[in-house]
Amino acid sequence: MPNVTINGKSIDVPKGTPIIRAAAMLGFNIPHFCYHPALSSPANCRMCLVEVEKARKLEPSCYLKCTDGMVVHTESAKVIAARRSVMEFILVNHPVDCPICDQAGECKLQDYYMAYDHKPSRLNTQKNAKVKVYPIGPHVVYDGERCILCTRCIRFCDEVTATSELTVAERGDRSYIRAFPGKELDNPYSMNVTDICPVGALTTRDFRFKCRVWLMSSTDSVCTGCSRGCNVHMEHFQGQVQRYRPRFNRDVNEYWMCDVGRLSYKELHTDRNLQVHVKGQSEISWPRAARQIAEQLKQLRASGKAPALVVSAQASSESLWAARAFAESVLGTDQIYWTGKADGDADELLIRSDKNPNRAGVEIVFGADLLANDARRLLSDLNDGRVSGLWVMGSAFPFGDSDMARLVQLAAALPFVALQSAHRGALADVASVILPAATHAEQEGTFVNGDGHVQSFYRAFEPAGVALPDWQIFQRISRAAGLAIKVDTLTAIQADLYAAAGE
Amino acid sequence: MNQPRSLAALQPDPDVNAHEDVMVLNMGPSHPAMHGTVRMVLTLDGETIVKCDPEIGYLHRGFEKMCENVTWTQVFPYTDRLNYVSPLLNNFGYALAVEKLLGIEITERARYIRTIMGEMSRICDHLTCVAAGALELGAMSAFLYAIEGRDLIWDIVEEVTGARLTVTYARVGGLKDDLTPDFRERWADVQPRVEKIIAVLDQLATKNRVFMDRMQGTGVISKADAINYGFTGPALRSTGVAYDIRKDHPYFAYDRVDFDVIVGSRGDNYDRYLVRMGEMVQSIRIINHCLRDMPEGPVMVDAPHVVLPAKHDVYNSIEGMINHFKIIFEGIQVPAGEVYSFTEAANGELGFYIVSNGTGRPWRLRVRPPCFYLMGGIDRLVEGAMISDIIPTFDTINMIGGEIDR
Repeated sequence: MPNVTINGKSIDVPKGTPIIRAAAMLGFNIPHFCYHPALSSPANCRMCLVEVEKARKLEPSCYLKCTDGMVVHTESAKVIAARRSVMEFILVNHPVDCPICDQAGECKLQDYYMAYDHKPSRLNTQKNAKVKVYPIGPHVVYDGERCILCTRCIRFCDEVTATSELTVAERGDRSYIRAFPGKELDNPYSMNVTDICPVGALTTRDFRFKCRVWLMSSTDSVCTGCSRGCNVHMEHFQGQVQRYRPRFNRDVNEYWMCDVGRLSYKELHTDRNLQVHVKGQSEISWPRAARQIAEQLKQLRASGKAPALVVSAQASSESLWAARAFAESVLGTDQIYWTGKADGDADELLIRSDKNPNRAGVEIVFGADLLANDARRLLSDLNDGRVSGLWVMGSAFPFGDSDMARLVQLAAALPFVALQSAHRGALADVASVILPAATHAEQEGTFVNGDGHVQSFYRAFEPAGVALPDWQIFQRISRAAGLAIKVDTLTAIQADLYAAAGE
Repeated sequence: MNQPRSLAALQPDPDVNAHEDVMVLNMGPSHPAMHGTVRMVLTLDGETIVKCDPEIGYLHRGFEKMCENVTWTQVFPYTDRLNYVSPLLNNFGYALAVEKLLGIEITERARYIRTIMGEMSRICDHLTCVAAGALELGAMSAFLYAIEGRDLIWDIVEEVTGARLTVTYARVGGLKDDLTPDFRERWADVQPRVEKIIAVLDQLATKNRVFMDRMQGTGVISKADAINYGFTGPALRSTGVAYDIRKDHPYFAYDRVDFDVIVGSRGDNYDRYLVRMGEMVQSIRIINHCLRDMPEGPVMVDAPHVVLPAKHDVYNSIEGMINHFKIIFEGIQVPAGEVYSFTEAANGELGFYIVSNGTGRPWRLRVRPPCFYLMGGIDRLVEGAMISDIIPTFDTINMIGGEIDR
């Protein structure tokens, strides 16, 4: 292992480690634009130049690999002077765009100017004009003037998605990024280029001009688009999720996420159940509704018509655990089905065919046998009259229009259908009870992804309307029924759940 | 069987003294003499004060906590509202503290301007204090004269800063703006009028029998007690201690100007009044001295990471734009560390203890308001005195609600 000394501190690093990585291990931040840990290093931005003893000139630390006995200085006067010059050079043609640029506030140019440059402009010529709004792909817009030509986006398409749509066109200060003729930046991961773009040259059409970044709060969360469970920064403002950004997790999604997942936040705010509804009553509060429903369940149970429970692979493991206890002691049924979204496309990179974030959680909580009791079985059992009532979690069913219509039709004939869901869905029209549930942005919990990683998500903002997390809804109804189930706090549920799962 | 009690049993016993028990009286928080909203829980034996327990906290503004949530520059408007009679002194005191943390020295001209404007604020503060004291002892006309003087100076302050009270004139690294071009002429016009007003005040109050009787020998504190209680400013100097931060730890341009430290000897209300009257004359001296020596030049330091760039650069160059954006949105990046910086405000030592964690906002900011310590010792000043002595004593202590409760 080569031993390098950086700013007086030495460290052993694996062979082939670039200086910039070794410096980061020692806690020295070297400014950079073109370097990205997941991509190759072209060393074209020159921001990361460092002084290596015995080298004739400054060396790019992203490119130069550590060798044994190397002595590096990252904060010497020569290095600082080089950074200032590079910054000044990069800013020569940069437009005065901060007030209208979505990157402002999270822009490397701004950070490094304040950290290293501090010089007023010495330019007294016109800045180069380029095409400012170029739709480079269906999801991404390119601004040539803001671009500093670090080529991160090109390398992403070459090395990560291997689709190679992008290249640099023209030469010198007339250069710009373009898709090859006949192509456009259209791959399932295209919006990642806007994350790795160090400036505001690449922006997503979705987030463009939507919200200033310093207004948003960020909550660590998990994407619910498929069973990969990509880690995300859920960025929100005034109770609305504004965007997802991938959050680094070496074991799950590294630095990336797919476009479909990235836009899946939109579903969070559409078609919501905001109030408690009990058929025949205009307005009803949680406590009254809970009492009435508990009474109704008691009668159904006494007459041997206990409703079947349909759990959702979209719900958190904690809510599923509460659902199990609820089925046992309140519903008094062992007739349990599971549902969720239909399977879809998959690829080798991140996208999984299972479009539910927590199917593995269903398996852990209810046992692998339950997986046979899927939505198809539910439909056929309904058809055969083997179901006397329904308590449905979630609004997602893996059905096309005709099957869904059939389900709604069969459910309408039942005496009792409770829908406990964040979204209305088709069943809301026939449900005798609607209980508004919180989305995963509005509660804390865990999902188990397809590889068995237990991943936490956190509450970003208050639930909309009077919605409650699923496990709290079960808790309320069971308390009203006088059959309190043991789901008092999230941590208590987790303790029980982990103890049971560990067996 | 119960016997009806005789009427004689209900008569007071002539051998029992009705005034033996002490009485507890709440003075304030809403009492015209308790300006600034404060409560004094008085234990009275007749009209004599046995015990005085001042209770503060009725004007809580959360100043220190608010400062943790705004950028370093956004703290300035809050400091205006500490001692709201002399907001400029608070502005400058806070600015000096942040500049110490940053390790920057303001320009020569800014030093002089801060000295000039600070002394103007001091005159206003003393005028208000003296005038309100006279007013509460019945001298309405003295109050009106003094307030006229204050308004004359506030007119100048308004021209320079844009506001009479909420001035926000200081910036980290200098000042919002230079003095107005006609500042010297304005001051030349105002100075004799203010001097005349001070002379009139002197004639009205200093040798006034009623005033002297109420002020002399009341609210007395010894030299040792004043020091032990942390008294500073006129209240300390009235006892004969010649401690003035402007002289002993000079800042801004105070080491370059001539002025005398006015001291008293008895530490009573009358001496505190005399110290304030004397200091106003000295302040005028300082202002004139500064105006004579003040050099031309910029009022902001040349430090782009602290000072906003010129508007022309902000709108026309990306460098200026970024600089402006970062300072406004993320705040001046003050290096991690802590500082205690103190200046001579109108009532005494105004200290700012600031801890920075290296971000654009103070991590912790604590104010040492001079009157907090004066109020801490007010029981020493009034216990054993008559209830009416509270009025002149509370006035010369000059408690300001805005800074004591913060």
